Amino acid sequence: MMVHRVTRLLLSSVALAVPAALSAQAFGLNEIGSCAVSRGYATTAAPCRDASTIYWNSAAATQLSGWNITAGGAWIAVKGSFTQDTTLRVWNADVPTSFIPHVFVNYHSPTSKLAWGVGVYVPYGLTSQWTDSFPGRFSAKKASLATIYVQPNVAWQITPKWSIGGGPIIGHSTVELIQGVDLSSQATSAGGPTFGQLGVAAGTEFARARLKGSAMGYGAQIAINGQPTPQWSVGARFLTPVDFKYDNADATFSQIFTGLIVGGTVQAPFTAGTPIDSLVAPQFRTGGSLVAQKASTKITHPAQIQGGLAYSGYKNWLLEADYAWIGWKRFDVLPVAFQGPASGSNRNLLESYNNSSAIRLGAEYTIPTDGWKLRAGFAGVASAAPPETVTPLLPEQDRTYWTFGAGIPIMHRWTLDGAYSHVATPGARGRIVERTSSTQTADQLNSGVYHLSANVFSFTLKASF
Amino acid sequence: MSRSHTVVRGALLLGAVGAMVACNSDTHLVVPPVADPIFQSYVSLGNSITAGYQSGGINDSTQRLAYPVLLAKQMGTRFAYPSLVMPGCAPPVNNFLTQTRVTLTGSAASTASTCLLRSPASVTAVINNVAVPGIASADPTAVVGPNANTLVELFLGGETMVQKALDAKPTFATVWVGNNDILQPALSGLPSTATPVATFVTNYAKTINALTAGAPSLKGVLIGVVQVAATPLMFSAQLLASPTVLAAATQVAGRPVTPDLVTCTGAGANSLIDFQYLTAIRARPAGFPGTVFCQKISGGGPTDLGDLLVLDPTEQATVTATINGYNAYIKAKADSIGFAYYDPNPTLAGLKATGAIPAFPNLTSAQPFGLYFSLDGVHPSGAAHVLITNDLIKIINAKYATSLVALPTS
Repeated sequence: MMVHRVTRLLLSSVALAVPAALSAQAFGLNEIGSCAVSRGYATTAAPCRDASTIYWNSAAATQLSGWNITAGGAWIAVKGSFTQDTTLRVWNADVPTSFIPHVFVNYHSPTSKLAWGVGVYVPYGLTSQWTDSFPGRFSAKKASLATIYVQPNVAWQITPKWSIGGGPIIGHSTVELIQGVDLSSQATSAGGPTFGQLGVAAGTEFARARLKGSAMGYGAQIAINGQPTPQWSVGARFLTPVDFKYDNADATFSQIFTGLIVGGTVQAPFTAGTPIDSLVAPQFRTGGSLVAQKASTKITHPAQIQGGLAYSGYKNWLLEADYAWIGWKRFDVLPVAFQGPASGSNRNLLESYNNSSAIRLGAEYTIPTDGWKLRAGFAGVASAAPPETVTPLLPEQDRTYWTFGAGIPIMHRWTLDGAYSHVATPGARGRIVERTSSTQTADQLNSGVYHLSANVFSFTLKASF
Repeated sequence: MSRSHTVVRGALLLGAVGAMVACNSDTHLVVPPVADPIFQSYVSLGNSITAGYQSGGINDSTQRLAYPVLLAKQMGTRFAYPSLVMPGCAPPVNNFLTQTRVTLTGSAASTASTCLLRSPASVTAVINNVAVPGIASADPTAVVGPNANTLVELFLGGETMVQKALDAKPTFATVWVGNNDILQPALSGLPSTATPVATFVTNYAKTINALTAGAPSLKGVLIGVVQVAATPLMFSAQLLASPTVLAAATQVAGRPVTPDLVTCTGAGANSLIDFQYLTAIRARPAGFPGTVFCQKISGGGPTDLGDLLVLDPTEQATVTATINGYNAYIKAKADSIGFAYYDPNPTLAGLKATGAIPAFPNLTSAQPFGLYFSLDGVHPSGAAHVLITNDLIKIINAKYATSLVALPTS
């Protein structure tokens, strides 16, 4: 007996991690600097006056003076649930609170047109986790992806009003995927029927698969910033896509006992009274399909383009509106390969993501007496996933962000920024099963409703000297 | 599906109020509501009739005609059954005289042992029709029960019938169990081998108690056992006095059939003969006489040609009393748990009384047992399933104040 499709499921999990990773910014991975968070991420034209501008508009680093060190992090608490159509049963997600750090250093001599620095930030990442009973655990029980970009940066003031900037990106990404393996979809023998055709219910977990790997990737970010008038600022940035090839990921499997017993004789070895677990146990031993092996895949972190317009003509006020575009469409098809007994299951998985857009609005008021800055913002993001790709790994859907925060000067050189963001979604119909053919429609696949929301708390400490 | 990146939608999201409203309404996300909340998840437990067995076999075509499928449609509720790949397991008989079975073009002729497996598309986490042909009252709470067969595995996949039903988180259930506790004993003329009433009560209570323990708010209907001696496969010995019947019987038996003058007179004239008595004669060696014995001739038992496949009046009384005992308990159990009770026998008896079920199979008809019974003479046809469904709808509406709409009858 061979288990043929187990690896396909794992492959699908790898593939599904892609949208999860990419869309993870929906859950706060735009959280790169508390000032930016509180301004609704509308910080490309008039970036926050700290070194996080290396990410938001690297050209504006010339507007800083001297050394600027910015460090902090965001705590992201995601709440999610899936309501099944047939039973109206609700499964809550079991996502731990995530911490997303950021560190930036910039130096700009007041007498120089050149600014330089480096940023370390997390633009993409996600942890999604569901309970053991969640019927979608065969797509994802847990998916964890964290990608850190290190961006050395150089900015040049080409005229008194205009600057350009940019730098290479060295990225490191780690991925861990845990999923159940569904016995019903496994073949009982080469070319033979599946266990499901012998009556085993879909969603019968007989193994748990774990994949863990890491990869390096390289890209760049460039930006331009200008102040055509004293009241108006404009800016734009372009972040290149970065390919991560996880060529040496570890895939391991552990048996989950089903307790099922063959209820009536079908054909040998499926005779009445035989424990199913004993029939599949050889797959976990040497020579079986469910042994430790290597796997590889490629996850492209998409390009981003963001442009904005800011106005500071009202006394003590700064207003900005940005438009952002993210190139999710790169994830239409994903090739994945196993380098072990499962190599026959190598395949291309369909994701069919679309490019997405976001509108970002932010405002900042400076209290003239003490220099406190009060900020608020709003952002709306259109879903990148088509209706047939709303999955447990990422129940992607339209999102709105409501943000506010404050910047508090501490002594002369220090400032503490704090921000809160609430991410709301309208809910979206989604699936808990694999999409095996491009002809399968959302109506055929989707079997329930996903709800998501998130609360983000961000703090950044910054120093200038 | 391609979609341009949605600047406009992003802009629309700026409408904060609209966004918040969207957060608070799921009306665009949910599936259409069922006819009544009690039908949110309907499961049917039972045996061959409930599973959709007809004409000595079962496949997707017969499964979709079963009364639970029809009832679920009227409820407007999702209802999954363990669909079998065509031609089935076993494929149904499609010609009564030749006993040929449904066979796919280009395939070897199907036999009674042909068994195609579950349709891949029917492999779901939850199925709603968990009935399995062949099971009796002792089986629903056992993984490998005393009547375990291939379909037990194909339909239940290593769970008990009750567990499988509870997997659906049922809000409504119909249970039609017990026919097989006495069907074969009655058809074989050996009713003493039927499940004793006391044993049946124990078994049945165990099933219902397990079901309601797992779904304490469950509503439903318990269905009584059919008076199996009245199935069209059984014909009265009196009919052997008819030259027309004797001619037909002779055709089936392959040799002249004659009623035994001793045992088929008096009380024996009221015996019921299983139609399979005639096919058994056909299977006898050449030269063996085609005599039909209507009462025991050698002490009874499976070797007694006057006992096997013959129900004499005493045995008929035993069968009736046993089934009455079963049904008395089923009704009492239904009353005790707040379920409705449905006795199918008045409807079936009505069909017989009106002549809709022929007294002796009409061998020249494509429907030898009439419109309401399939070619095995035991299992209801699609038309009878409609009648059963409508009976259930009446009872459910009366019990639960629902408004299920009856099906049109042919």
